Amino acid sequence: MLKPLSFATALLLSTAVQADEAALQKQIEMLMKRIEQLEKAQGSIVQTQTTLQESQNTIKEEQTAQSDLLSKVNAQSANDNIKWDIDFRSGVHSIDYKGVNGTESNTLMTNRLWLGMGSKATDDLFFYGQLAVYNYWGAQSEDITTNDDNWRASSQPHDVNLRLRQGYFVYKFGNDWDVPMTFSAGRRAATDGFLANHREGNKKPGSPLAHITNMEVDAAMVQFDFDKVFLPGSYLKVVYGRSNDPMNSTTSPYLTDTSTGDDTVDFLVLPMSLYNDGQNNLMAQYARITNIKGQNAQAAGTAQLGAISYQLDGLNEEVDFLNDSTLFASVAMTHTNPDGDIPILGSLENKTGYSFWAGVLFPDQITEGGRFGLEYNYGSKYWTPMTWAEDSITGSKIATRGNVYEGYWNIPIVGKNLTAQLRYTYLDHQYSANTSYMMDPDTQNLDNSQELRAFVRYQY
Amino acid sequence: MTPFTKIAMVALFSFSVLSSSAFADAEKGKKLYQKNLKEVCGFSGGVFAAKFKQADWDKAYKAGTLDKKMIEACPAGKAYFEGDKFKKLENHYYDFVHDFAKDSGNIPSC
Repeated sequence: MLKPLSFATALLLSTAVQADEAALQKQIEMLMKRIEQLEKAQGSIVQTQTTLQESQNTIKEEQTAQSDLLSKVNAQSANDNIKWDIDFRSGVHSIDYKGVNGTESNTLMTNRLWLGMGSKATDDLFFYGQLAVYNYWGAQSEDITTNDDNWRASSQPHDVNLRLRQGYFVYKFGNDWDVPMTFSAGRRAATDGFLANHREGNKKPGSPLAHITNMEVDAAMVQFDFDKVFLPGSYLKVVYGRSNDPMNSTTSPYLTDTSTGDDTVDFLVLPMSLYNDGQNNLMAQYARITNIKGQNAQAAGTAQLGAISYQLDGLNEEVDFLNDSTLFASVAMTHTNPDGDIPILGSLENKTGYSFWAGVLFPDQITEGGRFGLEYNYGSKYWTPMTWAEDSITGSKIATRGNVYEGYWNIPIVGKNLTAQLRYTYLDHQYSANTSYMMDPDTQNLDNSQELRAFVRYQY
Repeated sequence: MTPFTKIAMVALFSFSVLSSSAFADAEKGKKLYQKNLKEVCGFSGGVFAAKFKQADWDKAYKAGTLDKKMIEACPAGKAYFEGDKFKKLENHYYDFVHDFAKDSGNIPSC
C-alpha cells in the first residue's frame, strides 16, 4: 500500500534530482571542453602534417636540384680522370767559375713549373705524369742544341717550352703472393733520387740511387717485393731502357746508319732496397750501359756503375733535435770498358772511378720544421756517374772529380705549401769538369766553381 | 758587397721573417708508421690510411679522437696509439692518413 509522500520527502527528492542535473551539466561542459581541445589538437596535427609535407617537398626539390647539378658536374668531368697538382718555384742563382782561362760570374733567375698528373683507375692500376717548364728569365726558345736534351731538358733550366718530364703507368699484381710484383713502363721518375732529395728540398726521393743515376729516361720496370719473405721494406727493381734512339728523322730510310757510330744506347739498371724499417734505409744499385759515347760521340763500349747508400732518419727518439736529424753516407764506383779503337775518358783501357758522399740534416731551431743540411762529396779521376740531369747550374756536383762542399737551409714558410731554400755549393775540381765519357780527365778546364741558390716554392 | 753576399743576406732576412706556421709532414708520418706500426698492424701504411675516408679522419682529428679512430683501423696498435709518443707525433700521422685516405686518389709507397 502506497503512502502519500510528505512535503519534506518531496523536497529532498527534488533537491537530489537538481544536484544530479548540475553534475551532469558539469560533466557535459567538461566533455565539450575536451572535445574542443581534441579538435584544436587535431587541427595542429593537420597543420604539422602540412608543414612536414611542405618540408618534404622542399627537400625533394633540393635533392632534384642537387641531382641535376651532380649530373652537370658528371657530364663535365666524366672523362676527366686526371688529378692535377702544382709545384712552382722561382729562384735566383749566383754563379762563379774559376777556370784555367780566367774567371766568369753572373746572376741568373729561373722559374720552374711542374704539373703533376695522377690517374687512379683502381687501387692497383694507376698513372703518374709530370709536365715541366724550367726556364731562365729572359731565355729564348730553341736554346738547346746538344743531343742529350732528352736526358735532362726538363730538370735543368733552359727555355719556356713545356716538356714531358715523367709519364708512366704502374700495375700491381699478386698482392696475396709471397712476392707481390709491379710492372711499369714509360718515362720514369729517375731524377732527384735517394739522398739527392734533401738538397732539392724534396721530402720524397725519386726511384734510383742519386749517387750514380740522375737522368730523365724511358724504361720498363718489373719490381719484386721481398718484404714478406726477406727483410722489412726489401725489393728489387729490374729496369730496362733506352737513352739514344736509332731514328733518323731527316732522310729515308728513317733509321740511323750505325756505321757512323751513332748506335742505340740501352741500359739495364737494378735498384734495390735491402732494408727499410722507416728509420734505417739501406739501398743498392747496379747499372750496365751499352754503346756509351766515347771520343767524337761514337759508340765506344760499356759502362758499369754500382752504389750502396745508407740513411739513418732519426738518431734518437728521446731527444727531439736528434729525432728530427738525418745522417747518410754512400759509396759508389764506375767502370768503363772500351770495346774497340774509340777512347772512353781519353783511354782505350778499362778505367775505374770511385766516389764517396756523406751528409747530415738537423733542425734549424729557428723555424717550425726547417732544417740545415751539410754535404761532402769526393770523386776520383775516372769517376763518371750518370747524373747529367742533376739540378745544379754549375754542373753535377755528384759527378765532380775532386771535392765538393755544400750547405743548405730548407725552410717551410706556409707549412708544406710554401717553402724556401738557400743553398751554397763549392766544387773543387782536381781534373776536368765531368760532362761526358768523351773527355780525358787530365784535360783540366776548371779549378773551381760555386753556386749560391735561393728559391721560393709553391706546392699544392 | 758581392752578389753572393747580397743574395744570402736578402734570403736569410726574408725567410726568417716569413716563416711561421705549424708544420706537419705526411712523408714523416709514413716513415713513422713504417717504423712503429707496419709490423704490429700487419699491413702497409697505404692499407692503414685507406681504412677511412678523408672526412672520417678529419672529424676524428678535430674532435681529438684520432687515437680512437686509428685503434679502429688497427686494433693491434692500441698500446701505441694510447701512449705519449703517439700524442707527440699525432700531426704527422694525421697528415699521412689524410693524404692517403680511401677517397684521396693518392697512392703511398710503403
